[in-house]
This record gives sequence, structure tokens and C-alpha cells, in this order.
Amino acid sequence: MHRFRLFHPVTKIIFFAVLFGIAMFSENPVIRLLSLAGAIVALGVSGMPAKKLLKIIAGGIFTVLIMGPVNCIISHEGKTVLFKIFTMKITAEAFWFGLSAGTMIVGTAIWCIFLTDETDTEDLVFSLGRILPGISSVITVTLRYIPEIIKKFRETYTAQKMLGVFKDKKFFARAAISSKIFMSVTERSIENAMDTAATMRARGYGLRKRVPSGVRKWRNRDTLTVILCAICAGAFAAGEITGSFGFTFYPYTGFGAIGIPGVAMTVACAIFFMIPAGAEIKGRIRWQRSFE
Amino acid sequence: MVKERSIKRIIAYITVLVVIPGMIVIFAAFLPRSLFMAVAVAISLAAVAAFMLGFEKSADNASKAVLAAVFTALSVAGRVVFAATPGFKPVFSMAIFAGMYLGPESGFLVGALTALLSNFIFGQGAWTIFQMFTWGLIGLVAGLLAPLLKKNKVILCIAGALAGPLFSMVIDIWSTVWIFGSFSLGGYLTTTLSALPFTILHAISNVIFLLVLAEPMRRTMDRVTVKYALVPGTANKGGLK
Repeated sequence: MHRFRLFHPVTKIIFFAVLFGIAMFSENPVIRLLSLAGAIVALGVSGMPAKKLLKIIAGGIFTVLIMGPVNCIISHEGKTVLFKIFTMKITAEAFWFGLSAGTMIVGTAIWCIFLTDETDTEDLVFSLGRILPGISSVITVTLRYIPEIIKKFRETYTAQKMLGVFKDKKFFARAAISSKIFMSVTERSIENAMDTAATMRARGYGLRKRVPSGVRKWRNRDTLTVILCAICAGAFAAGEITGSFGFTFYPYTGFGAIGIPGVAMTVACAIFFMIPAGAEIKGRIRWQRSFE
Repeated sequence: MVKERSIKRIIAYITVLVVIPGMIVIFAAFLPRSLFMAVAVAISLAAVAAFMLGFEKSADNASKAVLAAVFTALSVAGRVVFAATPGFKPVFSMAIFAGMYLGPESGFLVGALTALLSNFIFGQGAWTIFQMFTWGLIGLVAGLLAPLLKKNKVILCIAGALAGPLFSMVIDIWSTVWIFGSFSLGGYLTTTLSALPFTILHAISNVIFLLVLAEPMRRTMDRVTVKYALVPGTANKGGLK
């Protein structure tokens, strides 16, 4: 479960940068479909409950289907007129473009769910710790404060609620009382923060030659993933620049000349989108074999 | 040296406030979708990175770093505890307060980090960079207008009410290009109108939070400033530079 989470933070940054680069910037519907498929498989094998996954897929299908007609209303480009609403041309090209855009949106959104599942704030602190140690410290302190503030807010809110402060109050009146509770938590947090700052100074905060700490180690799987990312990014860039796997929606929908480079690019992207699922499956097989 | 630093600062502010939003609008209108996305992500990221590097130089001041952390934590926690009321959150007001009391750079940092950290709960995506930039921008503007905002509550509320639509206007440029493939006025209006209820709620919530929090926040920050000698120029006592 969540084996991609164990990858080195730098590997994850590179992977998601290349992934979003391809998933969002490619206008090729085959690449968009592959991205969507990769995202669904990645979520599925990483342990998401089937019911939740099915809900996401159903929402995704709805979005894709709705984007076709919506784009027809917004865009009237294209030569194949299906019918007219008053003087408004409804074209087949605009419909296909909408479906393709919907596929991209859903694919990217599902990858975003995966990104949120597989990364955590520790990755962020680790990555920033070496480049921006000051910002990294701010983030670390922030992360320490967030649960504390939420807990204090809930405690105060519950106490006020039990006292009947919210009784018979409308939305905005309730919101105003909540804001006041929030302010009391704010005042307390700022006071505490100054004590924290004094403690940090006393312990030598701000001294030079500080070193970041981190438990993440660079492993072979990271090297392999980065190499795959580089190959895929290179293939994608080459394909986009040379137009060897071009796709046009307007004025007519269709593929350009598909050569061997185009096919190679598609295969490279397909392999790339399956990296998280592959890592998960490989991990499971290894786990199972360890019992044999 | 001081003059050179302030000139650099002015150039940075003009770049973030005028040049980058202007470039995003122009690029949205003229560049194809894929290129616009790449360019918009790159310039927004560059702006956020530049401000973070700027803050990094002064991050050795523990009080400044911890206060920025507290404001960010309050903002993220506010987004979490008010999750049940979509659009009604203290995020904008905390970025504004951070700008007003900690300075423009800290205001930008608080806004940007709020988007980055809270999206670990609400979902990361390409929009995170635009949210970071826009919320940061709100904190930065509040910092630049701090004397005016501290003096007059009406202006503070107007600024808060305008912050909601400003956020929507910037984010909707990106949403339009992302959804419809290119920037068109029709697409932009569709996106803006579909987000209108949230935009209005943002504006109302900002005014409520600013009205409720402004006075206690001023009192708290004044007290903390005196108690812990956080007056500009008293850096040797741990004050804000």
C-alpha cells in the first residue's frame, strides 16, 4: 500500500513535474486517455476503497460527457456542422475537443488526488530544507501549530456551544461568533509564538552552518524512475517539437502523420504513466514472495 | 546600500503587482493553451520563489519567522475549521493582517504558504501555484497599504471585499484556458459567472472577518510589539528588522 510514498522526495518532484507537464500540455487525445487510465490504475492499486474509486470514475465520466456539449456552446470552430441553434453552429470538432478537454481535466484531477495521497509535508520540508532552510523552519513551525490551533478552536467552540451562544442564531450571526472564537485562539497563539521565538533564539536559531536532517535515502528505484522520467520527457518534447504525433481538432479532427517516433513516444508515455502502479505491484509481489 | 536595496524592492513590487499579472492576461489572450499553461506556471513559480528567497535572507530573525509561521498556521487552521462553510474562511483576512503587521514580504509568504500547506488537505494540483501567487499578492498589497489600512476600518473592509473578486479574476483566467483550451471572453464570463456565488461569499466573509478581527488584532499586535520590543530598528532585541 502506498509504495510510491516511499520514493525519495526529489524523485517524486521530478515524476510529478514531468507527469503534469505531459498530462496538461499535450493536446493528443491518446496521451490524455493513457494519462487518465494510468491515474485510475494508480489510485486503484494504491489501496483506495473500491466504492470511493467508483465514485471518482462516475464523476469523471459525467465531467467528460458534459464537456462535449458545453464546448459546443462556447466554441463554434470546425467545419462539420451537426446542426444549428438559431444562428449558432454546433460542430462535431468542438464536440470532440470538449470530450478530449474533459478527459484531460479528469485525468489531471485524478492524478492530483494521487499526488495528495502519496506526498506529505515531510517531503516538502525535506526538499526545501537544503535550498531554503529559513522557509523550511517556518513550514516546520507552522505544521506544529496547525493541529494545536484546530484543537484549541474546537475546544472553545464546543464550550461556547454548550453555553447556548449559538442557539437560534442565523448563518451570519453564527459566523460572526465563530470569528470571535477564532480571534481568541489567534491572540493566544501569537502570545505563545513569542515564547517559542525566545526559546528558539536561546537554542541558537539563526546560527550559520546549520544542516538539514532527513531520513529519506536515495535508492536504485529512484535512479530508475528518474531515468524513465528523462526518457519520457525527452520523447515527449521531441514529439511535440517535430510534430511527429500531432493531432488537430480544427478545422477537421484527425491525426497528422504518425511515424515510428510518434509510436515510440506513445509507448514511452504509456510506460511512464504506469510507473506508480508498477511500483505498487512490484512491492506487493516482493511482499508475497517473502512469505514463501 | 540602503538606497540600492529599496530600489531593488520597488522593482520587485512593480514586477509582481503589474508586470506578471499583465503578462498572464496578455499571454492568455495570445498564446496557445499548452504554451500559456507552461509560461503562466513558470512565471508564477518564479515570482513565488523570488519572494521566498527574499524572506530567506531575513529568516534568521526568530520572531519574524515564528510570527509568519503563526499567521500561516492560523490561516490554514481557519480554512480547515471553516471547511463546512464553503467560501466563508479567514484565509484572505489572515494574509491581509500578516501584510499589515509583519510587512509586505511576510504577507506574501503567509498567503503563498497557506495555499501550499492547506492544499495537502484540500488537494494539490497545478492550481496550487496560482493560488499561492494570488493569495501572496493579496498579502503583499496589504503590506504596501498598511498605514492606510491600519488607520481606516472602512478602507480595510473595502480592501477585503475587493480581495475576493481579485482572487477569482486571476484564478478564472487560468481556469478558462484550462477548461476551454484557449482564452475567450465568453469562456471567461462562463467561468466567472459559475463562480459568482463563491466570489460574493468570499467578499462578505472577508468583510466580516476583518470587522471582527481588526480591533483585537491591532490590540494584540500593539501589545506584543511593546512587550517583546518588536519595534523596527530594535533587531538586537529580537525585533523585526
